[in-house]
Amino acid sequence: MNSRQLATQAIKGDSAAFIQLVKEHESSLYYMARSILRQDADVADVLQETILKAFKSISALREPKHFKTWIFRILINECNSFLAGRSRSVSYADVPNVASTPGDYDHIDLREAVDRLEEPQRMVIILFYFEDLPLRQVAEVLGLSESAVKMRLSRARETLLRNFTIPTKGEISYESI
Amino acid sequence: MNPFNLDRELKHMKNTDTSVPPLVRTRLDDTYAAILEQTPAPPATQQRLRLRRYLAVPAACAVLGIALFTSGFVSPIMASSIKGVPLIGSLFSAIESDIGLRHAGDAGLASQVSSQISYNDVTFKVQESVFDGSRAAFVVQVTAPSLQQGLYDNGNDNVKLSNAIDNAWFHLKGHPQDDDSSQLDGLFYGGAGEDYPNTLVFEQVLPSSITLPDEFEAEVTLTLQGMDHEFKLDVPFKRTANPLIEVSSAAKVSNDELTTTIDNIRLTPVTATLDTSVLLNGAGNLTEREESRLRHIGFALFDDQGRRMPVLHGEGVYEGNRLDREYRYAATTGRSAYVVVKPFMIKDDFAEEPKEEQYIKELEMKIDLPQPTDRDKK
Repeated sequence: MNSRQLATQAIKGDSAAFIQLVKEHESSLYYMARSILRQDADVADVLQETILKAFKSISALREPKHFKTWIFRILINECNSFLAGRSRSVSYADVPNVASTPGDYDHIDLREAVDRLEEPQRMVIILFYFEDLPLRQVAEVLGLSESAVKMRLSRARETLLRNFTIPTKGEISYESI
Repeated sequence: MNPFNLDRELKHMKNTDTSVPPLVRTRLDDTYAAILEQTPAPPATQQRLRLRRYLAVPAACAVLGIALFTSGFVSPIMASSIKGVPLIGSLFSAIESDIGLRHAGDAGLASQVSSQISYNDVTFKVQESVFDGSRAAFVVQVTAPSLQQGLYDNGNDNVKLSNAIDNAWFHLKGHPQDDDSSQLDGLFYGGAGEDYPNTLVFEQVLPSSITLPDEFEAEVTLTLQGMDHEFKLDVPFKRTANPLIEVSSAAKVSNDELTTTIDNIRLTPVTATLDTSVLLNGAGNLTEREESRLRHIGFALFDDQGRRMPVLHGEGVYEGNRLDREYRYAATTGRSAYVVVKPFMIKDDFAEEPKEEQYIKELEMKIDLPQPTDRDKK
């Protein structure tokens, strides 16, 4: 069965099909959650809740082909809720280690550079490039307009290009949710 | 790398080769087992599921209804009459965790607001707002047939009202919707306390890069569990608390390893803002390890009565061998003659309450503050 058939079955209440479908996206979901939360223990919590929430509401999914967009949106909402629940206690250790010093970029690959992007830019890169989602679906997942997604993509590309060529300084950001 | 190559490289990268670590693997397998347990044909063996924060959520349901909307500050007369009811007062006064907002309520710095939106018998009503230039906070009363004493029935389970909010966005009105700067990250919300179980307090820390007028409106979008609907609230803000004190201090202290500087202090009755810098003596450009070292230096802020101001927010930039950071704190009440800044070693997170042994005593700074003018005395 392909993904679309699995989604159709899952919508009808086939839990085995649902599990098989989620397993197909496990790595992607893990990577996205890890890029937001940084700690595996938190990622495990959020993935668990995402999957349970998706299972409980799969019957409401109208278009089987949109399963991936739909579950990513749930995941990101869960990540945001988790961070909101954690409130103001965001750890320095949790802060994305974004662009740092020129020397660092001599030794990192592109994936690491993406990891070091600020979260809004990192998320659009992951969804658009790594997950092959079209702009419209990226916008849907993130609750943004398509033009906002384009703008973030453009800024992310600029940041990546700049960091591979003339890196100067880096930033960190941590805040209440 | 040229732009074409970057685009191509990114397109070739996938996440499917990301391995899931054992800790996550176990939880995923537990989750799958739990799902199978919920199906009509239970599996032969049962596994225990570790649910640390699980909230049951119903299927999204299509609902029909008409959204009703009103907005704007209430008239001064009405505000006055509302304030005149002694038993009501400001809801901000009831907030236990944030002394700054509590003080805003006590000192009459909250603006009365009349803005609400209803959909299918669920109503979000903004009652008060506070804006001091550094942060914007507002109080929302929620009424719904399925909400009783702070517990919301989402169709599957009774959950705390604050947990029933699935998502919340803060958008500055007047900015184009696709302008990134208008959608602010970091909207915090929580319950208003036991006495107001059906009320939520929202707080948005405003980035210093944005200059806002004395009055502005935000559009706040909320989603509620079990409802396939976005509630859009217009929330007006009016600056009622101007900076009492703004000091360029340039206080600097060093030990063998570090130099810490306080460049600027801004105090309102609600929020304290501190511009700090921590520098690694003798370093050139920071290595990743050195960055981590600096990132784990926190700044605790105390008033002249020794009260620590709770940390709300912080953001920073690495510049050469130093880390410049701006911190926001919930201001304590009263006019402090001085503040004491105590750098400390972070163990868990920057907002933690440090233990005595975590403080780096030789880097402490006491900074005298100007005396209040008559205008400041309210």
